Amino acid sequence: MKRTIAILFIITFLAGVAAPVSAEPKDNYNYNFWGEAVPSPSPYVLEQLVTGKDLNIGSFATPQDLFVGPDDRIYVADTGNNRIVVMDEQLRMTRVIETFENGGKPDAFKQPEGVFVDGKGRIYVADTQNRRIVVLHKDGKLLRVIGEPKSILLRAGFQFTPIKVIVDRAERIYVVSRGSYEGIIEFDSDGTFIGFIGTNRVRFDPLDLFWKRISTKAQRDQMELFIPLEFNNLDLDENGFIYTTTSEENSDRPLKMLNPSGADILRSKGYFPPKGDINTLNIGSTPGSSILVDVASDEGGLYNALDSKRGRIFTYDKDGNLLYTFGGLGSKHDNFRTPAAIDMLGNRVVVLDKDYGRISVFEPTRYGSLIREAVIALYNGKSEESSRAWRQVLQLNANFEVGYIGIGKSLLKAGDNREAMAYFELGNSREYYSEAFKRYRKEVVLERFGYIVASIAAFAGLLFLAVRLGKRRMAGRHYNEVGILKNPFYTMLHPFNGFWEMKFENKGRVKVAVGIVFLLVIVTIIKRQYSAFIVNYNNLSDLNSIDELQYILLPFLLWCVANWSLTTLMDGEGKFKEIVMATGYALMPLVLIYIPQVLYSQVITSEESSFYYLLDAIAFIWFIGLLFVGTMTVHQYSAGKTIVTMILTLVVIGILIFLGVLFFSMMQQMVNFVTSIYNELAFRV
Amino acid sequence: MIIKTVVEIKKHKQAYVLMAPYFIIFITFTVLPVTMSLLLSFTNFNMLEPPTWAGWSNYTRMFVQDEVFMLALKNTLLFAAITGPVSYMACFLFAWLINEFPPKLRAVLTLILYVPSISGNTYLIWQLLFASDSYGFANAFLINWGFILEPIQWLQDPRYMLGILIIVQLWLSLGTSFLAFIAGLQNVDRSLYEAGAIDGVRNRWQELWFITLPAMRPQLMFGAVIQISIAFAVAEVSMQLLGFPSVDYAAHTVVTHLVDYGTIRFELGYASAIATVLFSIMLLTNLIIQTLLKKVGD
Repeated sequence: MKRTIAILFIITFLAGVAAPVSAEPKDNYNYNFWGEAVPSPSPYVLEQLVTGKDLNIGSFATPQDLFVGPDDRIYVADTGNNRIVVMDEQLRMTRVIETFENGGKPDAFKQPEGVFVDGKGRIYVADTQNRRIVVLHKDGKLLRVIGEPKSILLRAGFQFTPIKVIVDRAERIYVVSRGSYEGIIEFDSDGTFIGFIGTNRVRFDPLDLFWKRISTKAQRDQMELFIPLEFNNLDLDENGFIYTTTSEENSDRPLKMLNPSGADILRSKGYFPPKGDINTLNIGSTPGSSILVDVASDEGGLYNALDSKRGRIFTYDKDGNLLYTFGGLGSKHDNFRTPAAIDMLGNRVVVLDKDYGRISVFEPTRYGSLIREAVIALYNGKSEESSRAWRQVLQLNANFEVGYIGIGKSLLKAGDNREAMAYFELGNSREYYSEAFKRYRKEVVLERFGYIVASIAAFAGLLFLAVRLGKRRMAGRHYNEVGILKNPFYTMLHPFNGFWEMKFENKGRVKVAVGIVFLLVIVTIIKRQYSAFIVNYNNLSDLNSIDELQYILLPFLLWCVANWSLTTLMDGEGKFKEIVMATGYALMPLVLIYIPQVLYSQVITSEESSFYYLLDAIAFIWFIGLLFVGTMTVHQYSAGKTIVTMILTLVVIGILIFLGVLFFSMMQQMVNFVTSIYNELAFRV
Repeated sequence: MIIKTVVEIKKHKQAYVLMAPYFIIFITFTVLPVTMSLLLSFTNFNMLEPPTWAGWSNYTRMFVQDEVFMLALKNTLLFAAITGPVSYMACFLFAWLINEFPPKLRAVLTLILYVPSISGNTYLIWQLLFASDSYGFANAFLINWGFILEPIQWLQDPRYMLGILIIVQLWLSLGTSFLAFIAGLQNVDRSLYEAGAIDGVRNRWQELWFITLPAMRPQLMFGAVIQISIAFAVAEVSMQLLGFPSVDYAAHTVVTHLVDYGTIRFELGYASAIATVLFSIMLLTNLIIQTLLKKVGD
């Protein structure tokens, strides 16, 4: 026993040495299904920092772009110093490109903001202030200069200010130009202008369009122009798709993945769209949503987006699930001030900071590399390996919901549907849960088809017999009295008679009505907690019974009070007691329908959930109908007047709530005033 | 017992002889096919070889293994649950409204409302309305007003297909039952209303509930039966408008499934089982509706 413990200890110790386990917990987090930021282990830690001084070439001056070439060399566009700096994969100085021969004369860059290297080692530089793209051979000789595009497609006043450039396998050149909202400029391999691709669509609302429609041309020229947003960066992935970023705030699609025809095909299947931070507040030190300035594609469909506002890197898988985040703004050595560019060096992340003028290299921790392993294995179709890796990830971070989904997918492939259901539930993925449940249900039904059919038949037979016997017993009586307790049920089916008897024949009881309301509260809580996972979008762990009580009891009381105060003015005949009874009795269908609904939800897949919602609708419409008839009977109104009264009651409820809020805030102010006076006196005296 | 029956039959042989022509035709063309189909549903039959006994296997397969059938059943039930009641009410409402107009105008309006359901495949104009390019009326309107930037594939997108089918079916549904209701409303005895007024009927709704509806109960029953069979047997419109099979089976109904297995795959045993299930669903709904209609005017 002791020996095994010792061996285990040694193994774990060795495993710990093998890779850096996540360092001290910092502000690493991941968003769970509910949109809460859940702390997670560090996926990446800083490995080294490189500044211009380390390379003995003088500091970088606002470098704008960093690119890792196919030969793992690192190219930096050192904008302020008008040069391109080349390093090897160890980040040691290789060379600096400052000048080149152009037609026999020496030529130089002017504020180059983008650099790219293709498979043949040719260097493409976006020479921003010279308004041209410079293409150099591997050895630094000039190959070609691509100047301002000339075409009738271009609008008047178009300025070619290239800031980023990429080249695909067919040697087409894609350029992002500052201030060009037409999209990405596409050049042929010999530098002839082809056109624009991937234009961002303008978003406008019909109201604006309406005003534009009815205004004259002179007025239209006065209005603000709606122009599309420009791209600010782009990257090429291994399959030749183009990732782009747009610095649009509060958009759900700042990232795009363009296919060769320029259509956006980025998948957004995660809990939230791939847009960096979610639920950001518009107040505080860093207000507003993330601003993604660069994106770096990675193997296995992963991609990393760089947010310049909070200095964070967000890594997503091909479906748009957020896998991890790291980085941040600050003065610590592994923080940034203004991150400008990001790229991948193998499995390491290289980030360029233009204000600090330094390059940070991050390497994956054990946690980070396990996640990468799992995602890449699944991408390559190796579900077993992926599942193993996910299990290890979950040992390090049990809150990682995407991991549960990953394991669930592997189990689903293996045909272990029941287990898969449990994992999908942990991962909050209703889509996959429904699929697993469908298969599991099929197994169960196939096994017990005979029993199920027999029991349904037996049940139907019993029901038939019961109805027949009931009829026979009922036939003996001429007139049957509806009792106090039976009255709610009778009212449900015969509203006119039921409410009439309630008002004029003393058949209703306030106790019964209040009982129904409390039953409804209980049933609502049951529905909230126990309806099946597929239709249940509530966070089961934060149930508050008092809250539930508020959402039913408070509206109920408000309705009764508002209705009573209104109908006393509009010569309604109802007493307050009668209004309470009518409203309570009208809630009966909800009480009766919710329970079978919960039972039904246990046996459905998400495709069948439409019937569940249909039941919801039926219950609600029934309730409104009963409330209508109840109000009409209690107050002896005509139909039209009842409708008007019901609408006005809602208005009165609004006024009551407003008054309540006003009263409470006034009270708060008064209490504050008194306490501050008291404090003042206490300090003085 | 048997002798008694034989004696009874002998006593009334003229009646049986008079009933014979109808009964022979009815049994040959209705009762026999239905029973045949019921029996065939327990066999494997492909029109070429004699049927082989299969027991309950067709039914097990249908409810457990055939996901498309479950989808079709879901679509059909949803479709019937929405269009059945709505179109029934709409039929009655329009009939009731039209009944108030003077006779000349009434005839014209009746014709206008009744036209869609008699003229073969007028519903194909909906194909123009919901065409999937930017020239379809709906798309053109939405694009012009800036609600959408690209045309919506109305008839190919599973999200919209069932909805469109429901709308088209509602538009078509003012058919036979609508006419029956108009006839029924015409036939209500006027003196009943006067009697009602004396007995304390206070408003139009009470008049409707206590006098008009009970008086036209046969027409209501007829309308309900027609409407149920139309709602459950929707297939033609779906096939013409949304293709057969529709994209992702989004507008697949039990009857299109039946057409698939009966006329394309020739798995007649399985098709009979589907038909039997559909038949029992219709029968059950009919029973429920009849019990509900008995309560009218209570």
